Amino acid sequence: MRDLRTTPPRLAMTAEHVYRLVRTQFVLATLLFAAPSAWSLELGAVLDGTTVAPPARVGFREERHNQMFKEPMILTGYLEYLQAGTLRKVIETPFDEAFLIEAGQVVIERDGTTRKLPLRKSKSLQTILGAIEAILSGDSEQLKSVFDVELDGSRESWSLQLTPTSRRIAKRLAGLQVAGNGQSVTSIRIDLKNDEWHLMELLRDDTPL
Amino acid sequence: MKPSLSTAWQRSILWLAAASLMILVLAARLEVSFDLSAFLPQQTTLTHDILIEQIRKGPGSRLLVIGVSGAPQDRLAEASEQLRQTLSANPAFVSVLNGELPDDSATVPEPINRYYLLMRDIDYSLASLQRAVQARLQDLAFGAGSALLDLIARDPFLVTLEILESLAPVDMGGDLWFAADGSAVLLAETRAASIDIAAQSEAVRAVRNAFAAVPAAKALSLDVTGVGAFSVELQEIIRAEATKRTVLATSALLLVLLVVFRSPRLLLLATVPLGMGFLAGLALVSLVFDQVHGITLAFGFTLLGVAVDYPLHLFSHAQHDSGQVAMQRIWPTLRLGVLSTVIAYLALAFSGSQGLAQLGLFTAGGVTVAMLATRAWLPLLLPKRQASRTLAPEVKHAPMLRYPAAVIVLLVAVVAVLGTVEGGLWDDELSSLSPVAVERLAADRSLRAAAVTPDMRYQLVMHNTSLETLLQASESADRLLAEAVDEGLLENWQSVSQMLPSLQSQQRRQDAIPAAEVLQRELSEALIGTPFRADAFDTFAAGANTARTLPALTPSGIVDTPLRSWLDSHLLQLGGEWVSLISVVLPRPDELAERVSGWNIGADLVDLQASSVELMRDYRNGALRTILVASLIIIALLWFVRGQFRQTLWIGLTVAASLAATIATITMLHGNLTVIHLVALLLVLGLGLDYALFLSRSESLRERRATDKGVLACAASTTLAFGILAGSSIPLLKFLGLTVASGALISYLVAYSGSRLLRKTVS
Repeated sequence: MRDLRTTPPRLAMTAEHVYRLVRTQFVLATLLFAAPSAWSLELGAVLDGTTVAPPARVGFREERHNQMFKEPMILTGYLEYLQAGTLRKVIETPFDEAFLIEAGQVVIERDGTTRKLPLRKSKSLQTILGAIEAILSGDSEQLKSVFDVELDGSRESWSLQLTPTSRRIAKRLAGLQVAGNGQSVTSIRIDLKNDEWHLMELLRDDTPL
Repeated sequence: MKPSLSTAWQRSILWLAAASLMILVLAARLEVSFDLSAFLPQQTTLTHDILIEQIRKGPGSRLLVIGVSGAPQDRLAEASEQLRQTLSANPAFVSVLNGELPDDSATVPEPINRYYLLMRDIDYSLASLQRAVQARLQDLAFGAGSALLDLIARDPFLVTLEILESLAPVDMGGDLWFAADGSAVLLAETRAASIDIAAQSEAVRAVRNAFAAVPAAKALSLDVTGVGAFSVELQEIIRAEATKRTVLATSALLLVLLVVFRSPRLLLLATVPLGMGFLAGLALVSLVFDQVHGITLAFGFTLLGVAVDYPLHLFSHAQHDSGQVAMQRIWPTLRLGVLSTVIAYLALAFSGSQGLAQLGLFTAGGVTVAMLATRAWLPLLLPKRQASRTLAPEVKHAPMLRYPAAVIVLLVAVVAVLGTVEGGLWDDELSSLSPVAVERLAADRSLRAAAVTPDMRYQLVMHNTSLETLLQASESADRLLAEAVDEGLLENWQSVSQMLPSLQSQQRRQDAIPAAEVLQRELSEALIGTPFRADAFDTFAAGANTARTLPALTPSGIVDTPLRSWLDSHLLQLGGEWVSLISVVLPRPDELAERVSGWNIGADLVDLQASSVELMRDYRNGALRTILVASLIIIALLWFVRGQFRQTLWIGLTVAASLAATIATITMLHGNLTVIHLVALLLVLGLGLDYALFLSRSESLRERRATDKGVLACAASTTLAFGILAGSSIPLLKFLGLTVASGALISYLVAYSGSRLLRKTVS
């Protein structure tokens, strides 16, 4: 019955909003696969050395700070780059939980149940995915078209500051700070709004699966 | 016997007084509506009631669908966003959406924002709070952002999300809406009802103004569709067309009169019965109905078509005699014709839709008064003639009535119809009764399709005079449907009780909320050993305390909220009954229907699509039955009055052949038939009867010439006037015009060719 349609769901927004934040967050986390070894302080050179061949795995320790917390929540676990387009974040403490991003959706595993959320092509998400692709493929031009990029430090200890140029993305994401040494990325810090930030430190034992 | 001048004056004053009275009635009573659903059938069953109500006032009816095209997507996206912002600020709109999630989307809409704790059963025990706090920590291991934090702080159980998800019929992706043709699409819900034409007109203007303010708007094009927009368009089209086509049709009519009678005075007089009929018909309709439809008002004049024939017959016969003598001669035939026409139109008045009832009543009343004016007033106004001196009793001849022509036409037409029509003679789409052009409806569908809206085909229907009883039954249905979902009988559902619980449930949930200090103590305990600050959930505690004493949520508390549309689509008030509509998503229909019948909660699974086809079939069958009965009455009447079986047979055959040929013509031109064609065919029946009655009269040669002339003038004027109507852009009028124009022509040709030769003499 074409004529009998309901008003579109303004109601869905809140739920969807949360999921989008969730997805954005996860995609940003995958950035840490991006620069395992940066030997030059030229962005192009840093990116040239960033190609990651799946499968790969890296352990992490993450601090999450926000205004509801009196102390940061500490998470540990590992990240997996299973194949091109398939990424997985597994939390081992303080609870078990896993997120798999694959084929346009996020699969959340919690307490033995899974829930799938579609990854639709929202503009901000596209931008961020584009940025990841840019880093994985060493395309410094594309990265610069989305972020203001600042590279500091030495080859043994460098830091890459990424600030979104789009005002829309900047409303939620203040910036990213990726740090590394001669061998790999050592940490990634994500700054959101309202004093909310996450720091993920990568553990050195990254070994092929 | 010549009337004295004073008699003519007396009559005229009497008629003018009657006209003034009718004008007074109109001034006091006439109220015009442009309701698009006026030609939909009047309801017979609850299901049909629901169907019509959904179309008239359903959630979609207050939506304006806006399409912007003519530029690359990026450009259209900017225009779409700007339109959304401008219109959102306009109080005429409840909400304006373009598919994107607005930045303030963390705002929970009312009444959920206030009442969420009364919409679900919540366990406030310590263990339950601990589980919730733990689950929120897990959420925060993945998600982030102030929207999520605010949500968790006020609702650790995330009941709000659960409610929102259950009410949302589709998953909204957050992408801008684009139609298949590339147009950016927005949906603007107006505060005013779709039948409030002034407010809808304002809203459409607001959209146009907002569009004009978009940078480089001139390069873009705008389309606004939806029930409200179409009503506004219909009003504009009727205004434009009523003037243009009435002027054209009247001019054509006058031209024919001038050519045939060559007298300006007769021209003027011919309009007198028509004018009186128009006034009387309209006054009658405005007395019987609260509102007169724009279509009845604007085109009633043309619909009276057949009434123009009466003065024409009179004038033809009055060329050699005084008006009164001529009237005496044609009166028996005229009376019979009018009576038959009135019977046919009264049948229309009972055929099942308000629009048709108005047309039927209008025409029946108008035709009767036009006949009376022709009979009692017009002859007195005709120029006086010397009575014929050589008045030897004239020899009357009965025309030779030939059957073969009519029989051949009938057979050919039936064969043609059978050959043309595939898959049934009738168009059973409800949309075929809309006065909105097919292309506009298609544009609306294509734009709407961009905004993913759910299929509402299957509904679980429950009703009760008591809202509370109904809501409790709906809550039972919620529980049973949840089980049915687990068994795979359906995918999901939306019911009114998911947002508007029964008073009983609201009370129970209020009672379950612990006292402020108890809740605070439990919360503090639940937060021990977590990273959360002690005051992290203070917003929740305060909200819970407020919810304990909230006045119960009722339908009137939802009227001014963004969820009003949602409520309207799931809770209706029909007469004294409250009706709950539970939309069932992707059911296995047969199995679910069987399961539902065993629930004993007074619920029925209804397939609205099947129901709509059934509604149309019932409507059309009802109309056909009424018309058939009317036709039988007319034939019986003819036989009774004329008393000649063969003549009655000839008239019946002639009219039947003309109707069949008309049907064949319009199926070739329009495809399937709608109820509107039926209406037009009724008018053709009236015209055909009129011609056949006059052409089968026994009369003198001189009279016969007058009759021929009169009938020709009638057929020519009707064909011309309705031919002009056939050019209308309103489908309803186009169908009427073409059917009647071709029908009048065919009826004349069939009747004339079947009755030309004079043969035997009677005294």
